[in-house]
Amino acid sequence: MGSHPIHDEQSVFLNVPFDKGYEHLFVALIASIVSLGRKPRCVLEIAEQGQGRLPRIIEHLEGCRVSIHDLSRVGQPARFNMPFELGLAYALRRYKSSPSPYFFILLEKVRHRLSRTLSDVAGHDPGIHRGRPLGIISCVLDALSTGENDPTSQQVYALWRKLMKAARNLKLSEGRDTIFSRTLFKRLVAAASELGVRAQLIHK
Amino acid sequence: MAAKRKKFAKKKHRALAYRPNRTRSARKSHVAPASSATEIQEALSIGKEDLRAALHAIGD
Repeated sequence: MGSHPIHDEQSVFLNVPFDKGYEHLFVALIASIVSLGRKPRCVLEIAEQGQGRLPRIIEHLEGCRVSIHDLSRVGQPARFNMPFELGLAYALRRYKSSPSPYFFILLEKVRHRLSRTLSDVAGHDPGIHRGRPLGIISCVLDALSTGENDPTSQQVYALWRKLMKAARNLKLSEGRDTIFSRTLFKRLVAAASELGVRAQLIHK
Repeated sequence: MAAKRKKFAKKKHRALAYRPNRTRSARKSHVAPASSATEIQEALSIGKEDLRAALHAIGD
């Protein structure tokens, strides 16, 4: 499984659909997490070295204190990745002793749908984003805000708009039609952190 | 006596409030302090080339 990951209090694992229709929401997640001075992590950033995707996901989950699971992709064809990875995160939380408590955040697009699609998580209320970037931003700030110095939804939304432009430019410069690649993910986080500094949301 | 009690309360308050390397808001909520842009970039092994491309993309 490779080397044991370093546990990072500020790392947030993203378990979300990597599809074209989710790009603007993925950018909103990155904008929100970086604005809070946290580190967005996802399976995209680890190079495939022949050991398969699952060990990489577990390794990343182990290294993060928080994970965000968007369970809104319930159409055809059915996507089982997100609920499966939520199961992994739950098992880690349940059975792994760590220096600080691990917790996960659930996201859904439609209110009350999760109680039908995944009734096992009854008692964990998902954040409802309605498929909108501002909804995602609001859900993340709500779950991860720590105090008076945290940004407002509107500040993060302004950063998201700039980051969307950057995402378009990055795709153009790399000749890609999606942001879901290792290189573009890193560059997007770099752009978000630089924009965060300029907006005085985080320190240099 | 009252002055002594007041002095002790002040000391206790300081001891509880002070945590080295923590921001004020983090002390308040008992969570780790926010990371800086450099820390975020280092955690993701973002190199100079990535940073240059990112700056270019945001119109720098």
